[in-house]
Amino acid sequence: MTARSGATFLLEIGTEEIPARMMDGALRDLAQGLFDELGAARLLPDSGFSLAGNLETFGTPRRLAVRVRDLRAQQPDALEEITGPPVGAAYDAAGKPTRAAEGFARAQGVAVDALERIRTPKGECVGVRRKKIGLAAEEVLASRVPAVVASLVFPKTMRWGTGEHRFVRPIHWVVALLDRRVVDLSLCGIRSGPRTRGHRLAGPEWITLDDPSRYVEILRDHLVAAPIEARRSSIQAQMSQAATAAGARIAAPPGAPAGTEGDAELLHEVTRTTEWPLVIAGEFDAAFLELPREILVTALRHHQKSFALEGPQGRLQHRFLAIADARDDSKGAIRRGNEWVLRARLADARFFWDEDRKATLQSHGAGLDRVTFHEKLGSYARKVDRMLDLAGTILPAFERSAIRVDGGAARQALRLCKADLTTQMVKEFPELQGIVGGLYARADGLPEGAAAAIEDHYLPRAAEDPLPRTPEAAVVSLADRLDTQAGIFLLGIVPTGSRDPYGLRRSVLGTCRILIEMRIHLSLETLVDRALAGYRDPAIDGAIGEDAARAALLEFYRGRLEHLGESLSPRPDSVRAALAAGMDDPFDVRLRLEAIDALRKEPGFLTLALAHKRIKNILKDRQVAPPDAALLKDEAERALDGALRQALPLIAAAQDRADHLAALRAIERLAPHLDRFFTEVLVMAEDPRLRDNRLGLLREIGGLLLRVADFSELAVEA
Amino acid sequence: MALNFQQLILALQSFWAGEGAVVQQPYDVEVGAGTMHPDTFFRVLGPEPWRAAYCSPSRRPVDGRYGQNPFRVYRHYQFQVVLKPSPVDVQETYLRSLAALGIEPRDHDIRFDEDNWESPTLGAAGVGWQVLMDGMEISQFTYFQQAGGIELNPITAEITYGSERIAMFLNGVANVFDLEWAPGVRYGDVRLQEEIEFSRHNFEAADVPLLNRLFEQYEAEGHRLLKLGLVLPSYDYALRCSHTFNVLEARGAISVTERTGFIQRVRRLAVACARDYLKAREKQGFPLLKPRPAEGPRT
Repeated sequence: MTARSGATFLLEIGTEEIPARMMDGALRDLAQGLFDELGAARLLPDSGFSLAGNLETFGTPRRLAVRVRDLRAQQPDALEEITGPPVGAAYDAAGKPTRAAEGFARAQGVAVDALERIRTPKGECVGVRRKKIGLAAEEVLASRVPAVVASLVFPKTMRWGTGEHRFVRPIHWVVALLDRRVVDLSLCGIRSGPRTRGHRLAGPEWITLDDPSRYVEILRDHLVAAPIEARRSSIQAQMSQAATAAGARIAAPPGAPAGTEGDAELLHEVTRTTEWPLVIAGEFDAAFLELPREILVTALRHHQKSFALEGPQGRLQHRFLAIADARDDSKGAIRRGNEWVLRARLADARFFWDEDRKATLQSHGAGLDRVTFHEKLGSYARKVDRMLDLAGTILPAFERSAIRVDGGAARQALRLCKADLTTQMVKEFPELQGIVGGLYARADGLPEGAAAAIEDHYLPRAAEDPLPRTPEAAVVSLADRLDTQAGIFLLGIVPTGSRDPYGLRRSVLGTCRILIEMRIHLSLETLVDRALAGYRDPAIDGAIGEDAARAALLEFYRGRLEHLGESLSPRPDSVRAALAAGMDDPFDVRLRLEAIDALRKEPGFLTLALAHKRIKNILKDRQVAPPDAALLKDEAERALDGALRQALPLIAAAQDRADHLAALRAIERLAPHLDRFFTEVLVMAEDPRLRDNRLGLLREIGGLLLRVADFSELAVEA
Repeated sequence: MALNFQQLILALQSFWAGEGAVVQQPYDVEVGAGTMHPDTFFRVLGPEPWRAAYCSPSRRPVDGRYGQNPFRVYRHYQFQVVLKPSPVDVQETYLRSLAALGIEPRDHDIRFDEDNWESPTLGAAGVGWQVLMDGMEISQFTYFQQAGGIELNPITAEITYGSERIAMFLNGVANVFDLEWAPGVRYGDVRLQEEIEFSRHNFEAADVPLLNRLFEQYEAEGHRLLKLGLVLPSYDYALRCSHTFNVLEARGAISVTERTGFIQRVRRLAVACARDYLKAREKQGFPLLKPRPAEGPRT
């Protein structure tokens, strides 16, 4: 079969406006579902066919489409085998067909002597071989495509009209073409045909699609850019032209990591809300530039989905770019409209700023007792109290970790970090929570340390987000996270992969990232206990017990740390070994992991791994007391004990400064004594006192290792 | 010349009358939205077809700004349209209604932007969009999926026009109080004093103990009437409860923990009304079911 000889199938589902956020998932699932179904239906050529190479997807607010090239026009014929009774049961001793054989033949519509012998895993049977004629691709598609579409999963679906059907939005037309022929099928009661529609306003007429390979070109003639990528590059080209004309570039959104160019999130969205994007350049009153940059950019992007422009020095301009879905703006109505709306929006923002500024951030905070943190967990005022209490555990941990932190600024930030939730600005632009608090704190003349901590305390929001920029912000962020985690787990809610309404995966991952990347030694158990205790009074309605919540939350941390470990070490068994030795101090987990991975490159690793294995094997789960020097009898055990006593201060000092590699190397130097001990000393002595003493000695050494890693988890290559 | 405020309302009434809608009048009990009008809340239930259009003054105590904010008012005028079952060409009809207001859709950027709607007090939820014209929200467009806690079938399309916004936009007016209502009469002339006094009332003067008592009594009366089979009078009391709650909230008299409780109590009454309304209509044999042929595609 030559590469380009196959048939082309096009499916387009014409709908009312599909939410932008659902587009990519729907197209991905549609392509995958179709690919799987075509494979199962034997319509794919034997080679040279792939999902990425042969299936294209197209999506606009009003259509989901997929095109498949190089399909077989016909299923290949197949040989079908139907097996009947075993040969032994089909013929009697004389070789005559039994009643079983006759019955089977009759059921298959063949003569008994036409039965063949077929080998099966269960032995030889009689049976029938039949040629199954392949169906035309059209027939196969007509019967299989509706199920693929029906299996699409959307975050939210709806019913319409007389209510029989359910889809993401009402379906208005279905195009299903195999080359130039219509594949006859129905989706949600709409029968397929060759007709599609152009742009809703600029080219609303019905169009007959006569050739699936010209789908993109035909729609383009009717002002629909069907490929998502085509719209993205069109928007980018138009924006870059408009920006250049203004001597400007696209400003990054607030909270984006430093050095971010443009607004990728907004670009992603506007690409999916347009069929024929048109960039509109507009202006607003330069007097609005007095507003803080964060607020201006957000006012532009939040409601207006418009891009802010900044000059070469990074100063905002009084210009914006809006993305319309239109052919042109020859009358200027779209530009004038957007400018009018933006004037209202910016006036609103300035109004909120002025109103909010009539009171200090602190007095805004007084209203927090009326802002719900969680229906069952009470108000934000109570949350702030609990967070302040948690700081009593967090701040000393920073000090112990030799991180200089301004406790006064951190406490001030804790008291004020949620105060902006009562402001009009945050009610209008919820994504500015924290940022607005920081702005208002500075405007109130509060110390920069507190203002910066308020501003950053929601960081990191997502995996790729930057960390809080100051230790004080990290204190607030940790207190906030732990309090929420404890409260939600007390309600018995454990997030799962598909259901995590409070974003706890991100919250816990963020906690670990802060501790690990900012090098903070802190006991999770202590912190979790204190966070849970914060909810004792008043008791929460419907809470599970503190012990159950504690266990579930710490278990959840373990899962996240395992996940995070993958990015810290190339060796999964290193991660397991480090976590098996404890996960209470996530930063220490990382240090131990580094020590393990470093040690694995040294020859001493094998020695230690084997020694640990021997110790574990002999100890099993026995509980024994530490060794008593008076009971050490043999020369070899005295030598080992002596070497251990000598090494202990060094090991302890290394472990105290979390230099686990140095500690492991010091333990490794005990290896010759340990070897001699195992060769010369009978550990399982008859005298139980001697036996337990020897076990106690081994246990002490094993314990030292186990403070770093469970070596038995590590794969040892010979 | 762009339509003034009252011309806009008249144009919408006349357009939708032409589409077969019953032109209703505002309901005379306080509502927070046109959806709470019995001609939406009850009519979306059950199999009977229905089309109605009406202006709905909507009271939102927390939105009061003493008449000082150019865009926000305590009471605004929604223009509400319900079409049941939702017609196939409902979006096109909506676009034609804009043309009837003097908006030529081809000259503008009109977008249907995902915006789902939910009312915990009414046990109602829908899927749809906000309609944006040149970046401004001019309407809400909702396919009702559930009301009074009942899954709906057939589905009603609800279109809610923001009358003030559209009129301001058409007239290029930056402050709602400057909008022409009728020749020589501005929106502010008609409404400013009301905004100022009700803002003061809702935020400062409303008698909290009295309102709390009223809420209790309205609620009890609603349930009592329901037992007598008086669904519509009972629903009036549900509306009164809802508005009383809204004033208490604006007054800052409802704590976090109480809030959910209040909403649930209104919802319980509204849901019971919906259930009993449906029973009552069923008993009558769904009177509106007969004369009109069904709209929409036959499948």
